[in-house]
Amino acid sequence: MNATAAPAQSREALVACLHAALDALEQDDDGAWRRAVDELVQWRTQPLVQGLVRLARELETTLGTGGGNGSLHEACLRLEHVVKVSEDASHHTLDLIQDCGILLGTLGGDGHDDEATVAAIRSRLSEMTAAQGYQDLTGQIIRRVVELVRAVHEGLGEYAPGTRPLQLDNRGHGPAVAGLDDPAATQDDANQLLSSLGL
Amino acid sequence: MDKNIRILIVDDFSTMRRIVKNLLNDLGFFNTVEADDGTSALVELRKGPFDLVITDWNMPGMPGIDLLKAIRADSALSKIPVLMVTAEAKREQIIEAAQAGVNGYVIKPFTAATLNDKLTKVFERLGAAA
Repeated sequence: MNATAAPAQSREALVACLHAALDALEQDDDGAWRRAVDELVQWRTQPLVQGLVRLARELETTLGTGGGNGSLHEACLRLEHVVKVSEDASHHTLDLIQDCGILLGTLGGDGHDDEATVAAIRSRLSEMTAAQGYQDLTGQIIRRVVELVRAVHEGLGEYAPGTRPLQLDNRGHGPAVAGLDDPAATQDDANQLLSSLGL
Repeated sequence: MDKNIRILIVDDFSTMRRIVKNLLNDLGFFNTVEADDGTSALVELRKGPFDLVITDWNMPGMPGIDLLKAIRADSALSKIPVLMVTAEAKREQIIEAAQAGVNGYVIKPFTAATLNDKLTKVFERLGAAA
């Protein structure tokens, strides 16, 4: 906001305030001069403060305590979950690699069933492949957090023309995170449910 | 079971497409095509015959549940078995997928054994129907 854009009434008040500041300065009235300057500063900063208050209120409404997938606190918990899932997948893969090493060491031994050992190695290789699925799960969570950050970014630019209101996309729920989401169905639950539905 | 059946793998994450493809390869199935969401999957499905679709649920563009409904609504595609492989694990979602005509539902993260089990069941049904 600037003086030329201000309504006539505000402009008159501003002019009066500036005159008062000038008069006080000319009369060496330090107290009156400071009061007039404070009033001018307040006049200048009030729209900005109001804007920030409004933005904070809207961010609180959209991302705050309303539950769902949007709060900043939840975003941190989801990212911590990403760290844990990645770590677990790495350990699982490393365990399987270690198993394969041990199994390979037994090949060719006297009276040893090499065929069974090769099958066991193959099975672990398949498990290693499946374990890489963590990247899909963590990727989904990171994308949700990216959406949240983007929503905050758009919220901060709210006074720019053409900015859309804060809104998180919701194509699906994504991976359930313990402590944040309702407990997810396990594969056994899904099997039972589908079986009860005739599948 | 014909190991040359044509399988469409639909997932927005290339790693997951690769995982499913590799597990299919482990089972002896090498004739696979990939798509990264429901819309591109439908383009592939209309280009040529497929025997099985393995799809994620949560994808940008058209999600897997809409792809499933689109397949069932299209007379040329409606008979293709669809296996959902997804992190969406709410009871109501599993029911929605079942009502939409899904043939199997695998919850991520899954083990190789689980995927093998579900694929085997779908393939058994395919074999029985052939």
